[in-house]
Amino acid sequence: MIRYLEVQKRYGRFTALAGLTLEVKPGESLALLGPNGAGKTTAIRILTGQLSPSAGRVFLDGVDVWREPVRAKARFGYVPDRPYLYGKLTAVELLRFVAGLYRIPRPEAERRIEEELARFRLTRYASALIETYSHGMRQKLTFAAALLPRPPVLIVDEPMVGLDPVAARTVRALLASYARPGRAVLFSTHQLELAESVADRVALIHRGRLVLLGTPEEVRRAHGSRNLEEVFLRLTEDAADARAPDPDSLA
Amino acid sequence: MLALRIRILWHSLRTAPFSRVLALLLAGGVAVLAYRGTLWFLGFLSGYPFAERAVLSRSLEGLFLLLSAAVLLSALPGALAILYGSLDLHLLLAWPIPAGRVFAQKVLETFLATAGLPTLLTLPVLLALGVHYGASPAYYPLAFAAALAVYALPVALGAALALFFLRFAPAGRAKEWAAAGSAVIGGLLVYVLRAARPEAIFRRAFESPEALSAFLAEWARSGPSFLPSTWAARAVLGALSGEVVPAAALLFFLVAFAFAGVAAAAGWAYRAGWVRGLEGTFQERPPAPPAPWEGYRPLFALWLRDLRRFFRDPHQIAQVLLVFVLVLLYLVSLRAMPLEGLLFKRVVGFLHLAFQGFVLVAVGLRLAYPLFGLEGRGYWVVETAPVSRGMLVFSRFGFALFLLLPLALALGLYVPGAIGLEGGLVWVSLVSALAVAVGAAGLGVGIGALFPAGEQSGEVALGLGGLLYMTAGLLFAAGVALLDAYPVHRVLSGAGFWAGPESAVWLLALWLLAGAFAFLPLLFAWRLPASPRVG
Repeated sequence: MIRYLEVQKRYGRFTALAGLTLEVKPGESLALLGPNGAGKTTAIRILTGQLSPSAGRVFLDGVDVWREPVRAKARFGYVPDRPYLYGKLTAVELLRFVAGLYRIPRPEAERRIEEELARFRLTRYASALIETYSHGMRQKLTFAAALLPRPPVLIVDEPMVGLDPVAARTVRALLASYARPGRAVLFSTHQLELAESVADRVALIHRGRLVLLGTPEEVRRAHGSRNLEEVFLRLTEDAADARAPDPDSLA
Repeated sequence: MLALRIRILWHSLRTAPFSRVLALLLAGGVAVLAYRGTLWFLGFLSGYPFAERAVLSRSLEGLFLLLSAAVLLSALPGALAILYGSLDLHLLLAWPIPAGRVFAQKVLETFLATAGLPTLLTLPVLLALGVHYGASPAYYPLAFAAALAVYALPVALGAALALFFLRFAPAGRAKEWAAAGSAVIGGLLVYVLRAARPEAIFRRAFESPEALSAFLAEWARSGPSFLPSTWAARAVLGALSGEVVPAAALLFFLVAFAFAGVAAAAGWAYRAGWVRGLEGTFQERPPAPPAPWEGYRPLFALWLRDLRRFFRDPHQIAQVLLVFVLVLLYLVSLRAMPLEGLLFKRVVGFLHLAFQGFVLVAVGLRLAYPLFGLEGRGYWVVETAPVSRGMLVFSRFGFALFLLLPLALALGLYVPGAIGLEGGLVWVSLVSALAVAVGAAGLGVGIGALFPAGEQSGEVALGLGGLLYMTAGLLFAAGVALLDAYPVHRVLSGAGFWAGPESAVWLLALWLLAGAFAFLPLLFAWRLPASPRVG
């Protein structure tokens, strides 16, 4: 469903992605892992048509994202890492706007809007302006907007930021269950425990390169570790920084 | 802290050198124009020594008053954003720096953001004044200080009003109330300027040169002495003669007092928790049923979203109100002018033809240019949706036309009627106004998509895109005025215009010009995408 082919992204002399090749198959949920600045968000922005690659190609459900952007964009729902929305619209107006962009017929759009508002417990605040929403409510609304077109591919950048425990459980269940035949999920996260419990496969990106790919079980076994956190720390340079500091040195 | 700000400025210059250098060059060009224009005006004025002092004095007062009014309009939302809403305020107050210094710096930042451009426009004028009259070196610091002081006062007033709105506006609505307040203040200022009845000068009959001299002497003295703009003008003219007049001392004392007072009050109000006026409220509101006109197709959905966002944004409402007040003022002023005789009517009619183009272009800076930038950080919603870049660009163009066409109709159709022009020139006026509206809408949206404005309308004119739009827009309006000169000439010389084949050539040339200014930027914006993501 998602295919990166030798994708590069350079900003002057800085290389954010250095030839990423990666595939997410139908029915699969894949977690992108990596330290800050590794290239996860860059990879997602290239996939969602927000950032053009310096080289390489990206396919979504067989459609080249950068050659046929409109066709490709009709095939995914996207939740960004920061839920910036239009403050002067209400939640229900935003969802109707999204329905219009995806050409969802009116009765179907209204039915789905009702469903999504209920799923994320936003029904009671649906006609309040978004500018009055908390960060977590905006994040939930972003999920509702992404799911409204019932996209074959769900792309989520840092799904858990700002969510309350109830919403976090909803999103966790969504990430675990959304990928089924004909659908796929790609999400980036720093929460290794979430990746371990939800994703079918994990991909570790470090300094713009793919350094690890496999199921959580395969990864743990291959590195002889008890959990993903140990593998992560071993494979990234941040391992040195992650060691607990000596209390005496702090004093 | 000042060193920190300068370092931040340096880094922003380093990271985007091309756009910053271009903006500096454009600002430099405007400053040179202001300098050369003033020298030309002073040279012209010296040919009429009996009126020189009076016209100079009132022109300076008018310049200071007009730009002070502009500063006051942007100072209120500017103070709210910078003095109380800055993202770095929590951090600065948590550092070991006296709170007074933090707020003094914020007041200074408010001054730079809201009065920086008017000050930059005024300094070349004062420089030219000094050069023309061969002023002593002491003139320059004194005159420049007077300019800084006269624009600092509306900044202090804006900051004080912001404090009022923070305290008394409903929670979460301080910005909106402040924007509405700005519009009301703008309307009042315009009314005050109008109340001076400048047309009265045309209605006077001077029986003798002595009567004219007496009138000019009275006119030079009669500036409202309670206005700081009058004090500043007197300070500058005093400095030209090598003296420090009491008005200068009064101005400087008042500014120092106002700035210190505002900084102290802001610091106190912030720590007392008055900023609650900026925080949101949270209300339960179940979903409303869809409106009958709700769009479930991309183009209608985009337009409906834009309409909702535009008319719920107090900044935009304030712009529309201000435009409405200014147009009303223009219409009323034209009606009040004593246009006796057909020739005079035709001359004023041609001046109106030229002027309406500049007005439409200037309004486009506020209503068309920011439309893409207003997408702001929510741009990802449409950027990742199955909507083509072309639809985004051209739907914005349609929306800009929706905003500019009523104004074009008012200026192009109603004003010639009010002046009493004959049919031929009315049609020239209407067609020109429509062409300028189309050109300004395309130019604004195109440049706005390539060089997006900030989400706050106050930032519009300060960026590279704003300067580019104004430069290109003024060229466009001047081009239309040049083209209009031909039909006006034909009508003035008594020859028909619309019946002959030249009218077709004129129409073609006009719409080719408008099409070029509208569609070239739109095509660039379509083909060379730049994200309007702000911040």
